[in-house]
Amino acid sequence: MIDMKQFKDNVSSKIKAHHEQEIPEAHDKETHAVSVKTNAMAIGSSIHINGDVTGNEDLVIQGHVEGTINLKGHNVTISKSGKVKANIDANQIIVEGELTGDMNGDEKVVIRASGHAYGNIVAPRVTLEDGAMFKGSIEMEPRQGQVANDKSPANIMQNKESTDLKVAP
Amino acid sequence: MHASYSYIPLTKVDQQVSQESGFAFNSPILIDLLKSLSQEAHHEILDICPANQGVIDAFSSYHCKLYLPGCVKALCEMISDDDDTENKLYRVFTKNIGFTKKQRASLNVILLWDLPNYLDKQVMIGLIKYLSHHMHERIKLHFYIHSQQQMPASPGSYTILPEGKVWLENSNDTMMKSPLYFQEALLTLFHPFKVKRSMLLSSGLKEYILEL
Repeated sequence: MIDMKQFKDNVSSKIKAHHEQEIPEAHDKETHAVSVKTNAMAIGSSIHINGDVTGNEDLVIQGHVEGTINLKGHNVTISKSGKVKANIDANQIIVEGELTGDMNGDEKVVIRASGHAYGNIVAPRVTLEDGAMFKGSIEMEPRQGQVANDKSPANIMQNKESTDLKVAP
Repeated sequence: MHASYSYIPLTKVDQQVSQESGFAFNSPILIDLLKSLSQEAHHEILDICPANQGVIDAFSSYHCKLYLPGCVKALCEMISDDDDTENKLYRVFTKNIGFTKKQRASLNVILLWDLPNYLDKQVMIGLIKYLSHHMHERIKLHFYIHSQQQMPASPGSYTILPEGKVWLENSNDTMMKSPLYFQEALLTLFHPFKVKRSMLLSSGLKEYILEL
């Protein structure tokens, strides 16, 4: 078991410096603003971890992780250079690199255009950007108030269909 | 388009918007299928096409598990004289979505899009046979059949648009001869399924929904 705090103490100065360089690139999109906080811990691109990762802060993975990642209530971002073989339990999971494993996101899971994810997703919201690769399953529960809302294709089509259809001769 | 259907009434949908490399079209049977799903019950859906946001969004208001094996290419590469088809199907679905003999799904809906036009007949039969172990008794199969002599040389990418239409994108301009399946031939491929509803769309696709 790898404790994030202990790990951070050992390699913080080097990793922090590396991480700070990566942040500007990640600010383009709205969702990044949440995922990459300045106080997020980073696992640098040259670092390989085999084991269980736990902790109480956000995590950005630029290197390799094999095992499990349990950061309940916090966000995990797998950067473009990141390669992860692990089941992840977190608040938000953002995949820009490669992930093989199940994703349990309390809030949402986002697979970016550069992301490759193989596994099962359990999350109330899932975003798959154009070009993203995903194979697996997605288990969704509708958010409160979303059931039968106006955005449902079923409801949208209810009135349209009568004008679009013609009976063939 | 001029196939003689003896007992399934065809309906024409006339709204189609051409845009760039794809087009949006009305797919009333698919939308009716979405409408028919209970908001309370739990559904298991298999979408054979590569995962895309439109399909995820379309099912996000339901309690559901969406299986996205992304195996179109692997299926199209399978050929009928391969004795190993059953094992290959097993490997594809086990590897990509965890289907095993012990861990069975209970699929309510299977979205095949236009894949039946491209699969070898024996592979198609094998696929239905394989998936039958993972089907709910009230399973519904949805797909499109090309009704014109020529069709794109590879399966298209389909997504469900928020306004309740389907977007078809096919980056491959090359055309090939379509199998022109008549209904009787389709039912052979999809045995023991029966046609619940079919509809001729103005795009030249015939939309089908089958049930047991």
